Amino acid sequence: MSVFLQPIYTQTISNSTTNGIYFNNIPQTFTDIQIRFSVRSLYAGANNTAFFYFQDGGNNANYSETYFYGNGSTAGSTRVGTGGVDYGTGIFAIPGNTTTANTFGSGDIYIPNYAVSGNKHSYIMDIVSENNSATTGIYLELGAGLFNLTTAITGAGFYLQGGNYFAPNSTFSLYGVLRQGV
Amino acid sequence: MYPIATQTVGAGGASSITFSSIPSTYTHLQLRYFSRGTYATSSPTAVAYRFNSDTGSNYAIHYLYGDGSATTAGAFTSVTVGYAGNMSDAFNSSNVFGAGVMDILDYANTNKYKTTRSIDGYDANGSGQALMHSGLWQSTSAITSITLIAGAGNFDQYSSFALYGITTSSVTGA
Repeated sequence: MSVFLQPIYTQTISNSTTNGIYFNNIPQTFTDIQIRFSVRSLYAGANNTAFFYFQDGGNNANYSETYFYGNGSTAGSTRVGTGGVDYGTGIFAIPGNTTTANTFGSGDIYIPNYAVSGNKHSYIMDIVSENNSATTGIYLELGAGLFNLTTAITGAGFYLQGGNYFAPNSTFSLYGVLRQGV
Repeated sequence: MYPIATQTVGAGGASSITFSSIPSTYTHLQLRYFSRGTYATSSPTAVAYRFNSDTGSNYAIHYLYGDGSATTAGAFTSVTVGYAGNMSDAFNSSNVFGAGVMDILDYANTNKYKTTRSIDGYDANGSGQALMHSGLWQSTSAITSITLIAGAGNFDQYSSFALYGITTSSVTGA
């Protein structure tokens, strides 16, 4: 598989009043897609949970996820079944306003065979929330998820728990990956 | 995704290698490495980094790993290096290397401190670790150089480090 990443879309948060972003009309011409993001929340705490969803608008009956994590001192693993999350699928904790200034979380979500219909969609993700603290605001997560529908993925979005706003300069980039021979 | 530079350690090893004059024309950087240390007293050896030759206590490190029997998480704060990962070393069987991929998003964005995110590890046929590392460099400066440092001893011969640049689209898709 090629590791070449072809840029498709990028959204950059430029104000303090954006609580969600969405990529529309994802081209169906790639084999896989990857979303890479560098994000921070204006939530007045150490962490804010972020969620993502596909074109179903975030029906939590359609998402499940298994992941393991570390918070600077403790490691663990959790599974969230369909219907068990807020809206879409809970993905990670990102730095809030009480963490070290200018500090952003970093992550990517890889979605193979996103344009194929007939199979449910699996994805993998690795995401970190940083801070100059041993444990406050820290979250490392490596996970696998399921979008429990068989339709091709045509859209993807993110939002923050509690309706909080993304910090300015948060970025979301969508890439396409082609396998050899395509 | 574009190759920027590759460095391979020659005979005699090297305590560090540096990627300098990194262009600011990309949006993200990715480091891919295959490395082994010469330290023989214990294992693993860290693959540490410094950006822009900053030796101050401006880095934080967080990690999560499994060693075949347990999972562990930990941290170092206000330290003088970050960690890209852990690698096998001379404490283990010869010719066993570690591997890792480290992402640095928005490396040239002067509004952000720089966060690193790595997946790394090694297996030495009886020992080993699978890890995830994150790091924080508390500087808004654009990253123009990356120095990789063996946590103890040297990088062994044939250790290889490749730096890539990743661009982004100007289309929002909103």
